[in-house]
Amino acid sequence: MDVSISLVIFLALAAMAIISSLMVVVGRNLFNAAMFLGAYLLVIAGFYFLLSAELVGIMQVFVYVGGVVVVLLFGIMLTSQMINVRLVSALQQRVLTLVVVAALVGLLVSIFSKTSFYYISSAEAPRDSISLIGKLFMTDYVLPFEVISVLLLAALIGAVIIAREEGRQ
Amino acid sequence: MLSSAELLNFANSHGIPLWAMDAFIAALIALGLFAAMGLGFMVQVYMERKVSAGLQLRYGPIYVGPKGSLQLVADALKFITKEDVFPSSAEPWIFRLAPVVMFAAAFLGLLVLPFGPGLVAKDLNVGLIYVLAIPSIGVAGVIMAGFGSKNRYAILGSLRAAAQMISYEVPRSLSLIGIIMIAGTMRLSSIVDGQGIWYIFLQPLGFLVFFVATMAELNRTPFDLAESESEYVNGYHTEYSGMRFGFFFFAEYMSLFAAALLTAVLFLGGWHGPGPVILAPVWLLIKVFGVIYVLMWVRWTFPRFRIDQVMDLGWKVLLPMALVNILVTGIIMSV
Amino acid sequence: MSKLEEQKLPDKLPDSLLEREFEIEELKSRPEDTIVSQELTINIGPHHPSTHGVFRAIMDMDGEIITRIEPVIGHLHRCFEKIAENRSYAQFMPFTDRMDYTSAMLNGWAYAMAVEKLAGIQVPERAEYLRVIAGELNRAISHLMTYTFSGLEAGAVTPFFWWFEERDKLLDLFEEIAGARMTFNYARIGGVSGDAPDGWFDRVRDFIKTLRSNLDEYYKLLFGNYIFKKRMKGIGVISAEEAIRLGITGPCLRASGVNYDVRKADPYSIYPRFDFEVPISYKGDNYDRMYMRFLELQQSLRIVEQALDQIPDGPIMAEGVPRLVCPPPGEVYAHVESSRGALGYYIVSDGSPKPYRVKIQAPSFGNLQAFTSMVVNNYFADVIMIFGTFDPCFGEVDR
Repeated sequence: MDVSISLVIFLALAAMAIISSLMVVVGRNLFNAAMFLGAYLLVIAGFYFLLSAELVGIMQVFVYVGGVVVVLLFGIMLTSQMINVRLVSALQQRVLTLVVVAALVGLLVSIFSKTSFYYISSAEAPRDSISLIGKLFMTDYVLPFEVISVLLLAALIGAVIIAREEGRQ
Repeated sequence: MLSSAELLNFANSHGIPLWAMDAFIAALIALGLFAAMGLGFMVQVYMERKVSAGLQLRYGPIYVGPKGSLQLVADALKFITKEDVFPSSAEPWIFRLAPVVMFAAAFLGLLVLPFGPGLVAKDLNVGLIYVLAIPSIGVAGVIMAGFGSKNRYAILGSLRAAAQMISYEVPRSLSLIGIIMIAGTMRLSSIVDGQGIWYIFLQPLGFLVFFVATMAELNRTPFDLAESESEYVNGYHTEYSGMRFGFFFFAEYMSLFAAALLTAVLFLGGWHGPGPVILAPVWLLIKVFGVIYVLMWVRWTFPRFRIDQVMDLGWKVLLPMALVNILVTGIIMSV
Repeated sequence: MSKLEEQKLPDKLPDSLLEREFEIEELKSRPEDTIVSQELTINIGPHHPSTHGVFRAIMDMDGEIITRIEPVIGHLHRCFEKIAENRSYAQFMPFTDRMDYTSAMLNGWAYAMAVEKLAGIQVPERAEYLRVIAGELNRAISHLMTYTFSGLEAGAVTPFFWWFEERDKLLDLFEEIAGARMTFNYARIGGVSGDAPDGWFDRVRDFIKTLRSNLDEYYKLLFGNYIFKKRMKGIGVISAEEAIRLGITGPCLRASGVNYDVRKADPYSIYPRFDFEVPISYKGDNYDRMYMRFLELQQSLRIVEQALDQIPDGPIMAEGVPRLVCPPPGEVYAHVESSRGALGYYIVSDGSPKPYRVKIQAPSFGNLQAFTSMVVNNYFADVIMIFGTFDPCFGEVDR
């Protein structure tokens, strides 16, 4: 069998993704869960790199690992009560989770069965993906782009207001 | 991944699987980079000691090796042979992994940096964003170190460090937009090739913002609040000693080297200089160590800011300056 | 009134982290949706890079801002006052050097003055001049240390190393007259231990000349630095009334606008013969406290120069001082302006060769009171800086 390095890396990444995502769910320590979430997101970035989508991979690192996870860890560290809290799930929660998970698994399986895995795109990845993405943002996808901008602005203002309210007390 | 036909033939004739060959070459590149960094680390530490000693009317190391140049070997031996102190209240795995994460982040950042024409591990076409994004993994390492130590100095120091690094990533990234606009690419080697005139002259404001933000990213005085020894003893690595501390130390100097290299590549014309092409890496190294010297000079001269002053500088001074830089660059380019 | 007194202080110090854990348990038992912001208790010292010796402070921090401070002193307590009661008068002299070790000359001088006053000993002229020269040089270097040390606290390491050069040169000079480099034991009851060797006065002149020319660089390095000014100006302000009420003395008091210097207010030794000024300022912030020291240092050099011009020949010990000084029964209080403030010795004699009681009024102790009362609501980094501008010496605080 012709084994390429890409396959080896893919298998390693897949194993890491499965383990770390499981640890996020199974782990009882909040801080550890956040750490594993960060590891998982890094692995996803690795997948993007493997697919020659460097820009997306880097953005994954920039936004998720550098931004979201760090803010999450900040939140956990600043809230001292949460550092040592062990998460205990109640029975009702388990039932609800089971329903949601079953639905999700069903969805994934249906997608899985419909995908043909032996299709390889003949189109090569564009050399200069950034300028292409930039152009597309400003032409075809200008509406979603602007909507997201407004959403982020709203979130920013909301954060400032919440922080100010707390400061006043 | 293989480019050389000879290697391919060699692999085929000896029955070596391709993936093993690829992995071997990748490991070789990594080892080469690591060795270069080890050497760079030694040079930098020696330089830091001698520069600080020169500024402080001291000799610096003089006993180990000629003019004390092998001091770091002695230090490394000390690091390795030291007792592995493990705080009883520390979170075992987070405490152990934090130096590794820091080290990995610093090392990964080097992968796309060119040392000369063609001398680069991976000349990524988005190299510029890559070098800006990778240090954010280091922030996670800082937080892990602080939290894992379960030491209050360390927790506070890591919070300071993380807040500062996240804040300064913003002006640091924005200060480089002007360069991307002029060069029209994010490939670092193309940016160097495009520098007929050094970008420091085309982007003086951008350079200023970038340089200050770089100092803050590196946690060096006047922004060394994370390890402010007069306040938080040693910040996030208070509890670390021996080789674990050695990793932080190594990572710090690797990021310093990476930052200086990035500055030289982006603003100081990279490997451009008089003489034949073979001298290109020499010119680059001269520029890199020039930048490192300036960083050391600043470190050993200035006092440090207070945390709120650092935040004010980042958000209220550097960020508007970076935005103005983008605006001015855009106006000039479109005229 | 400061926030310190408003708050109900716990009966016991929250020494162990365990106690803190109980508080966390208590917080956990509250309803889940209430977010309680809890303050972090941080302990500084006794071994900490910027406690100027062995000082311990337990602080509550709200983010980076101090909300409560609990100072703990006494880690360097060595029973000096009690030791004095079990030694002869002369035997206690070496202990004085170990109190304020950065200006040891002034400490010994103060004790010698007190005993001389008690026993009615007249010190010869030349000895007085030597005391002034040694004391003022010591004051100058001590002030320079405080100044460069505040740079160290702000993160600038270099000035402190520069100071070592000046200090070392001075210690060379002191070694020539006193025979020691740190604990001089120079002042003696009735005089000083050694006369200046040949050429010593010229070397002192050279030392002053180089120090003067270097001062400009010292000034530029910290006072001329934007960041340092930003860290010092307007921080840790203390008013004149508050300063007097808390018993601050020395440069810290004069920075608040109170013109009190023992050398002028209650002239001792031969100070009336010298022409010097007492610098004074009115803002009372960190910057002024440090700047007063910088100006005073220059005045000290002026005094030394005048003393070098005036110094007469003659003996350096009073005649007829017995080996075992037995002052007549009585009590005496003598004080000098030490580099940190008014340093006083109160001695009670019962006529025996040993003092009945020696009470030392240390300036650092008074200054430390002010520090603890004014740190609340300041940034942690500023607290360290304020501490540095008061520059307590713990050998003196704890004695």
